[in-house]
Amino acid sequence: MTEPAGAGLGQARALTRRGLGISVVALVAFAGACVLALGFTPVEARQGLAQKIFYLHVPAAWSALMAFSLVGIASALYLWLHDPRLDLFAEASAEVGVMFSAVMLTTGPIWAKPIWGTWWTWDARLTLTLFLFFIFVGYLALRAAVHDPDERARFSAVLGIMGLVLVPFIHLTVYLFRTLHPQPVVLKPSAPSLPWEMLRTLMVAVAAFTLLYVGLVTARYGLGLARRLRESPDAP
Amino acid sequence: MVAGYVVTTVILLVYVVGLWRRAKQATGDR
Repeated sequence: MTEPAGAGLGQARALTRRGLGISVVALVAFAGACVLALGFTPVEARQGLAQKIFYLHVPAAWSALMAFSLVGIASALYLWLHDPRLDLFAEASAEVGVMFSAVMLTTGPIWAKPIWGTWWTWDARLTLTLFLFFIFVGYLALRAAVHDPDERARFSAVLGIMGLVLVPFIHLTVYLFRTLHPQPVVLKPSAPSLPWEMLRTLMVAVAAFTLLYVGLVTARYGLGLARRLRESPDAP
Repeated sequence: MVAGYVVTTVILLVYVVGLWRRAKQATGDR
């Protein structure tokens, strides 16, 4: 195997270190958000303690949909500009998005069971979210299966754009279809319909998850860069 | 409710540790 270019590898190493450092800070912020949610936020009157999942499920959904939207945007820009950094970013964002989706798709049923009486229902919001997860698992599988870097970047960019198209539909499903899933309480045209203490905790959790997204994508970008340098040491 | 917090923490920690190990291997960092 050819040794990767020294300067590029140094940059990859610095990015992974910086990204993992940010991720550790974000995990501490996440722990703080958990303490805030469980100890310093009122229990919701109708749902009781089950509603505390809200402070995990919504930030995870936010991070996952942001991650997949950015994959689509970076993919479209890659097809236009052919800059390999956009492909590396899309790869990193897709993997982190799949991880956040896993959190969203496990906390959702844990919340649904005591409130809806069922773990899962095949309504539009849940089904499309599951399909989005499968699209990006497929995206990662496609990347692993194609060995030529240019072909891999082009093929996966097309799939990344397909995923982006699904994101606004997922947001609008609760308006377009009859569904058990509640309508947005924050991301809607009118003011947030949440008491201040709950909104504050949600904002702290969203900030922690967003910071975690930034840290993980930075680290994953560095990992992708190191792998690319091993594939082709002359790569930009 | 507790299960949701446990599962989320486990998923996040497993991913971060896995990423750290992969990055260490790929970059030759010690």
